[in-house]
Amino acid sequence: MNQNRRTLWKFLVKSICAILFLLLITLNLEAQKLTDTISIEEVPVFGRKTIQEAGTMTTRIDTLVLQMLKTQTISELLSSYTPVFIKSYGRGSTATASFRGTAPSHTQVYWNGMKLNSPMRGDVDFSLFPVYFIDDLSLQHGGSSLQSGSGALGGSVLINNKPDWTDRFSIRYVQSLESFSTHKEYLNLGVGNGRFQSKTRIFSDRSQNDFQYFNYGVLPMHEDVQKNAQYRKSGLLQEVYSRFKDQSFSAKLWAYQSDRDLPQLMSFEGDVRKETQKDQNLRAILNWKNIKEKSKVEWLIGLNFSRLNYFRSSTEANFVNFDSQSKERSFTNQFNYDWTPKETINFNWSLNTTYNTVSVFDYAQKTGYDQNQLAFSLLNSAHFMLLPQWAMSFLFRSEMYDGRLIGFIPSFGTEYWLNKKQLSSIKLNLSRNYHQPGLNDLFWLPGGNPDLKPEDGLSGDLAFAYKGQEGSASFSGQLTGFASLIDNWIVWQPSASGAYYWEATNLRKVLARGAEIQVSGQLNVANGVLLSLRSNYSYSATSNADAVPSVDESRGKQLIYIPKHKANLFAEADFKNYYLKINAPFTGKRYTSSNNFESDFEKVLNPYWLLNLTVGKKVEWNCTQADICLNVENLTNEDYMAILWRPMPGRYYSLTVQIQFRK
Amino acid sequence: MKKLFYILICALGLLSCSESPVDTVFFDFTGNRGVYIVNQGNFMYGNSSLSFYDPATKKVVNHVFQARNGAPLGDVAQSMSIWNNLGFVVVNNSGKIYIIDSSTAEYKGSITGLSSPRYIHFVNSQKAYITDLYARKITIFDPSTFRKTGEIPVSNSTSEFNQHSTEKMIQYKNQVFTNSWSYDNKILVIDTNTDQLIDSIEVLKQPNSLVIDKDNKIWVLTDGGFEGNPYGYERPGLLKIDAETREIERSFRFALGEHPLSLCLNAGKDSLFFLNRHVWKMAASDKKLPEQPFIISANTNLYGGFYSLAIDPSNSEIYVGDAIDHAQNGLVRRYAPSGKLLDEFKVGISPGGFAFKFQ
Repeated sequence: MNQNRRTLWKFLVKSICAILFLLLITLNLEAQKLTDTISIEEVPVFGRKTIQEAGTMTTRIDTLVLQMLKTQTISELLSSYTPVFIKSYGRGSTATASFRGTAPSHTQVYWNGMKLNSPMRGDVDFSLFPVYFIDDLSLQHGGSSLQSGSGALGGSVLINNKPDWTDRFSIRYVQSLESFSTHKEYLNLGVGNGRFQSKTRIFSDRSQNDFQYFNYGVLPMHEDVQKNAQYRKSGLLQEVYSRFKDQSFSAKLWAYQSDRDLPQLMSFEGDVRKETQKDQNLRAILNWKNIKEKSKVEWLIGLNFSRLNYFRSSTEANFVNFDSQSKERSFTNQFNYDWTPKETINFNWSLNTTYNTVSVFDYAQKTGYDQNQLAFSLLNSAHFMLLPQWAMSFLFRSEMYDGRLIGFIPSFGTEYWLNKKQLSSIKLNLSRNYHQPGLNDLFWLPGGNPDLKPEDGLSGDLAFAYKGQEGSASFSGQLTGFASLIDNWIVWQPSASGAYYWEATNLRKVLARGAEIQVSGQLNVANGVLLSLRSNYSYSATSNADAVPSVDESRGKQLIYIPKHKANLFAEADFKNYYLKINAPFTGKRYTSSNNFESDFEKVLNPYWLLNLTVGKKVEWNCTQADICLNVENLTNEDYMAILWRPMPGRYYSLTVQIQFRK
Repeated sequence: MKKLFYILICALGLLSCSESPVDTVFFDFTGNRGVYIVNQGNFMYGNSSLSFYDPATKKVVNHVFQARNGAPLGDVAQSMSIWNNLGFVVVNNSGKIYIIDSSTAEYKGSITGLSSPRYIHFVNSQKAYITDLYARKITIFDPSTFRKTGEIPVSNSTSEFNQHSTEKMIQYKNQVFTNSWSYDNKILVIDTNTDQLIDSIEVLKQPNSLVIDKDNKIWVLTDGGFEGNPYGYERPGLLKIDAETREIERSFRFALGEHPLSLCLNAGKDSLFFLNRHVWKMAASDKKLPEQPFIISANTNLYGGFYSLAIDPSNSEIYVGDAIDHAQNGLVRRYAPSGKLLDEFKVGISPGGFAFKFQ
């Protein structure tokens, strides 16, 4: 109780300080009015796509959603608003993606054009990306991802930052208090003019994460509290932009660190264990662009340093099981030339060079490896409008890594509009893609396999998109069917030599197929009430298509931990300055055994709906805006598991206050 | 649009109802001979389970622990030992031992707070030992009260590796011999009267199992580590040690890259059985390792062959566990002492241990 009072008191003091700070700045700025304002020509925005986008399967996340989820991580955003399935080990814990039923390493992530996937593991932990740090997020589904890079057998997630050239001075402070002693704070500071912009964002997110749950994983069963699940995350993002005539320059720096305690399974009753994971990232990008009427030249250099320390010990026995330290360094150099000789033709060439070094050593196990990898990727692409209603794109990549050449990775896309206003269209994309093994797959001791071949995928998508408007209601939707056959799928299996450890092999041929449906609508009801609804559903059946021994019953079965059905629904009602938001993500049944066997006692992870509710109010006063909202997560107090025998919290609450000043 | 919205909200309310729990299942294996199969499950999945097989009726019941008690067994069940109509199931990565009635599978109690328990050996009705991979001690408990009564430190501070781990146990007179498998090459000798570590025998790298034959000779199988192992990598071996003198009397070596494991004895304790992808058999008196496997595994090209092995001490019938891909229900095959297949049945994930019940 005292703790709660203290927390509330601290919160009030902080809020008052923030308001005073804002007032002070306002007064100060009034005194030194900016005089170098550059008037910017208004650019009309059409619903029409650019020629580069025609025929691609891309989803852009609405900026309103980004704004609404500002205190969340990208893992929660993807899970609640996109067809991507997120496998999360719990609140604040590691979260990896399965895009169209593929493995975590088959989703590539690009930050302002630089790939962020771990060269060691191949995947990305989405719980380490705060939504607050991004201005734009889009997904490239299936073969459409080849535009950004190869390896995304499922798809790519593009996260971008961009300047707001109209910003003169802005400051935004967000504080969120959440159940389980969770405190989140965010600060954004922007200054600049029409030629120069600087944006600084910092955040801190810490939680005891000690939620209550009923532990039915032990005997006797009892009420329990989640232990050793606390986390602390903090980060800084600094961006600088400048532009002069047709030149523009930007520099971005991302520093991030996360300290997490890793909880044990519900059935754990052993001696005291300490299990922790520390992540540190430092990322920087320099970007130069020269934009002419018909061409664009872009040069990007970037670096991505990551450090991950994993530690596990039995405290009482003073025995350190693992003390693993891994360092990854990636250097990226990318040169891009874009040429649009006519409005109906566009060509693009891009050369990317990436050099990765990885050093892993476990001080307890005394094993590790040091490896590096050099990769080149050349993109050639062409987009044509053959007719005003018919667009076509063709691109291919040629890649080389560690002396291996993969000469031809093609993708073909076309889009045909069924009417002149481009309201409905049919899209088709066919591509080949490949994914090179992670360095752990190649060199991990024991079991890494230096002879692994890249995973090789063939995929196709067919989509129908529709947009419509009638009176005060608008509607849009897209239905997509996809299939991909991935050969040489890498799995860790019991060693064929009979050894006690597992080995990486190109064992499987996997067939992933399914459908995605996205629907959204908006309705202006009388009395100033605006209703909006967004939903999507995805079906992805991913199965092992290879012949294996007769006793093996995994052939043709759904891969473990990948749900066939996933859906989410988001509804919002706005009335004057009040808003009500409901978000309901659904996760289908997931199998945990390769033969998909289920019985009363065979553990299958049951499907679950979550229901999250937000109510809030916005207040505007001159240049200052405030927004206060109350959020209830898991309103129905659903008891569910995302991962076998890991508890998830029941109903919990958060209160978020945002104060923004903008000049 | 409005209607659609209301319908969706109502549908959500209906779908969020939870499922009803499963009824308790009661078993009675009283008087039946049989074997419990310990299915390890996957590390950090918490999906280990117990199966019970009755060779007379050829019936298998899977998930007996969860069906009877309504709770999961835990994470990575390593072994089970039956004593005085009680089954002691060692749940390795849950750091505990669950004790059940071996005739009904009913939960009777637990021993918790362990580090990485592996096997149990009963010294007498008041004393039993629990070996441990990480604790660097053997825990002593009273099998009639399930209370911990002491511990035997086995730490070796002179090594750069975390020694000694303790694994399987055999007893000769008042001495218990246990193999130190992880990054080690020792057989430790414990005095059961004083509960002290009194001696150790240096063997080859990474001894993974041991048995004692009818002539009081201890047989030790070593796996030699793996390529790149900081502790070293050598040819696996099979050693014969005299229990009285603790001298190594004979040594057989396998080729580099072979992975022998699960050393067992027949009922007469004069024939050795072990796995090396297939099942191999040799007489304790043989002068060389067998050249041909005794029972061939058909799955060696993909999954490395058989996973576990046990021999019924009452009739020498051979039980072989096949974990297939370690991610689906495993298969157990039962063979006559001659090697003839008698039965096969599906069990839980990664069948790794067997405990024979005689009454």
